Amino acid sequence: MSMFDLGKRGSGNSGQDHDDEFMRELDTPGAGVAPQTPSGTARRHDAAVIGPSIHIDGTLRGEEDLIIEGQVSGTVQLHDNSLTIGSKGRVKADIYAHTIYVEGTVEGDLFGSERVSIKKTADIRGNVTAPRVALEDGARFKGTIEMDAQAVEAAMGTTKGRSGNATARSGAPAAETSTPAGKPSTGAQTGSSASSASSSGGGDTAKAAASKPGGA
Amino acid sequence: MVTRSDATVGRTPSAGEPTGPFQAKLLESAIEPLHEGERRVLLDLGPPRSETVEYFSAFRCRLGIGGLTPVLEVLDAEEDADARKRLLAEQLPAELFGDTELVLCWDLLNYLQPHTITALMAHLGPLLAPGGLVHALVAYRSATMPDPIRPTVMLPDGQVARAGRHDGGTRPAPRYSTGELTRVMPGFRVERAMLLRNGIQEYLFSRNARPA
Repeated sequence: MSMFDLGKRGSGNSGQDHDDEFMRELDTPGAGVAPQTPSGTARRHDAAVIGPSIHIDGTLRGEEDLIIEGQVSGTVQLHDNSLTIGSKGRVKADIYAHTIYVEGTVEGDLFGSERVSIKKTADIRGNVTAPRVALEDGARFKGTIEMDAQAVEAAMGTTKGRSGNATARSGAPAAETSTPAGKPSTGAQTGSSASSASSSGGGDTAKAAASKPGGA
Repeated sequence: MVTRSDATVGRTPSAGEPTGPFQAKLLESAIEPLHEGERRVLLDLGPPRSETVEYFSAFRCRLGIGGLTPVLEVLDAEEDADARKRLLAEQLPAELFGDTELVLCWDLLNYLQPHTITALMAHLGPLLAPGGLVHALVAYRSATMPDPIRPTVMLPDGQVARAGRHDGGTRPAPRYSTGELTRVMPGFRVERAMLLRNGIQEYLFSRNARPA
């Protein structure tokens, strides 16, 4: 089973200030554009970037903000950080993050403990669970949005509660979404060991490739 | 009354076309449990719209978005019944939209031929939870309707409106009668119907006790 641990790089705080900063930057293209952003959209400077030529199969986890402009299959776990799927990004995975911004293509379920923001260029097939969901007109979306705060808390609470729990299966989270019957999710079992993630790369571009984990 | 800037129905109305945001009383009654704090599972057959997502985000609900609009023409033009079934299964998979308690058809039925309505409702039937309802707005007095279809959205005050500017043309409205509709959706019956002042007939359909 393979996984990719993004190293801790100090500034991986994803609080509200960061969210606001990110949104301001998005709203003012051209201002403070990071040179490494392939899509040309303004980004935070301290986020790691998976570039357009990178393909990753497996579990991707870490403790810093991440921008995906490449292709990722498997599972993405950034429980305390933000994830941006850029306009060139193609992700086929269940995603767990503090805040998720989608500009590209996602096939899988999205769990945002704070917010999921779907931009007009996004193309999503899957379910979204988050306390706050923003969707721009023009986005392509097929799936469900869990708006029930209790169900969201159940999913997110379980997610957070299991973060750092080393007893969980490494790299093979049993992402259990809300049931179609409308019952609150029994939880997104992330099996995260993100809190103990080690640095492995830590550069602006995560370059890794390995076999896809069986359960992901 | 709160209206959105892009809810522009009525600014460029064509003959017989409903003007302006309006109250959909049956829809209001169908979502009343949400106001009382109950949880509901909804399915919006239209495209994802910020207004609708924002409106329902205030409630305990799970909002499915079927996004059927882009394939309406393909669906309607498909002559092979099995191919229509496959397309519907692909567009509205049970694993995403099963156990829905309220389907929001909006004015979709106006844009479908009878055989497509039959196929759509036959597909929706199994997706519905027991007691589930299908809400629809059908042009009754209106002679025309926008072409192409414009998304219908929930406004912050609970009214509904067509979103976006009406830059396209119009097409004749099929003006389905209640009898015609019930004939083409054999597994369903009219739970309630109401003719609104703007000429739209509002429907709540429910499954027959023994689906045909």
